Amino acid sequence: MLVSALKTGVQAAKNAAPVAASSVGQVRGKATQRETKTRIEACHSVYKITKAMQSIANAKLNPAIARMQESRPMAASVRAFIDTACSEVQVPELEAGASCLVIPITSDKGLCGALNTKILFKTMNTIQDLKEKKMKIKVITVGEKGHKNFQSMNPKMLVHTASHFGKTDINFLQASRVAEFVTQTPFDQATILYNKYINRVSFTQMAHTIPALTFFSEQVSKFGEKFEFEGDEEQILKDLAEFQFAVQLYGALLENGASEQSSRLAAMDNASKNAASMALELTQLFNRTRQMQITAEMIEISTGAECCK
Amino acid sequence: PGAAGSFGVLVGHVPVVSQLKPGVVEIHDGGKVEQFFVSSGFAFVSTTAADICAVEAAPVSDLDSDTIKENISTFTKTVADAQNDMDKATAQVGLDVNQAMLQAITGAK
Repeated sequence: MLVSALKTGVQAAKNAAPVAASSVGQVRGKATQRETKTRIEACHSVYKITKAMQSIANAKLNPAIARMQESRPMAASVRAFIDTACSEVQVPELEAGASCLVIPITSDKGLCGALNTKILFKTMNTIQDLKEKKMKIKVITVGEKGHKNFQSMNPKMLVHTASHFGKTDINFLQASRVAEFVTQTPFDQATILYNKYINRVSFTQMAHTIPALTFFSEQVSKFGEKFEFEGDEEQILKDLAEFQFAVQLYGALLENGASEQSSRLAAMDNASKNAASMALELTQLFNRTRQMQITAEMIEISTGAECCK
Repeated sequence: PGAAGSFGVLVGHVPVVSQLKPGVVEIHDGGKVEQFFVSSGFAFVSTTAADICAVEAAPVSDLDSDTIKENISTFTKTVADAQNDMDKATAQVGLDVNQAMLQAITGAK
């Protein structure tokens, strides 16, 4: 609703006839004055909307950062285990024709600055690299923006989409559901791309590679050398494979969520400032032309009075 | 609360990977003991640290015995009434977790 109102406002501001540089002696008729007035009102409504979106993003940002930071240790520890394990056990080099799953994480709503364009750009680069290695590529997008992008540009690669679940706070249950959904498509390697939150004004794109889920079970004996397993090794590794995928996805979703709020905050802040300055310029122009009109009329009246004396 | 049995970890423990079943994790810090109930997850013990990655965790003091007893009766009924394996398994999981929670409270008393 906010977005459509914003678009109408911007449309109104654009549709009004372009303002010619005011030159002395040029008289603007009442009709074009009305157009300027419409433009000023449009700027004000745009300002109100972007300001509202900015404060919403501000309110959502701190809880999002808190939840992301709370989850970072868990994601880090799981990844540390995987990295240690993978350094001991050789992850098999992918052969040509291996099936690679690319999972870009995007937002559902727009008006969040460069967040989605950046991650989709990185996704395209990743896909390009994989293509050069002759891999079979499948894409599962998380988030509406990614879905729309791939539908229009590369529909053949797009296998599935998971979206519209960020309305409530992202929790592990949702992440596990998405992970379960994603792992129904078998893969030899999966790459999760997301925006990692750095601070209130910056975020960076990250790509995490995850070996096939079967990799863990296949390497049971090698894992057994490095770690002692309490219980049935194969069962543990099978569960662990699914768990680590869900945890990594969870971490990525939270990081992207925090980056989304900070990006939207900055973008809406800019938009509000621009709307305010545009409204100011137009108001000054309006007043100037109004005064010029009055002056012109007064001159007419006084010269007319002179003539009739 | 390892799936194959509870185990304790001190400094210098051999690296271990264990799946966790619903139960209580106790953290001993000097003389203080903190108890957390975990629903399930994994424990990674390395040479430098022990990480517990739980799906859900709560301090034992937060558990409410009345709600748990209610849950147990609800889940027992669901397990009995379950139509298919999936529903039965889901209800069984709920039952196991709640029974473990009850044990955690009554055991700690």
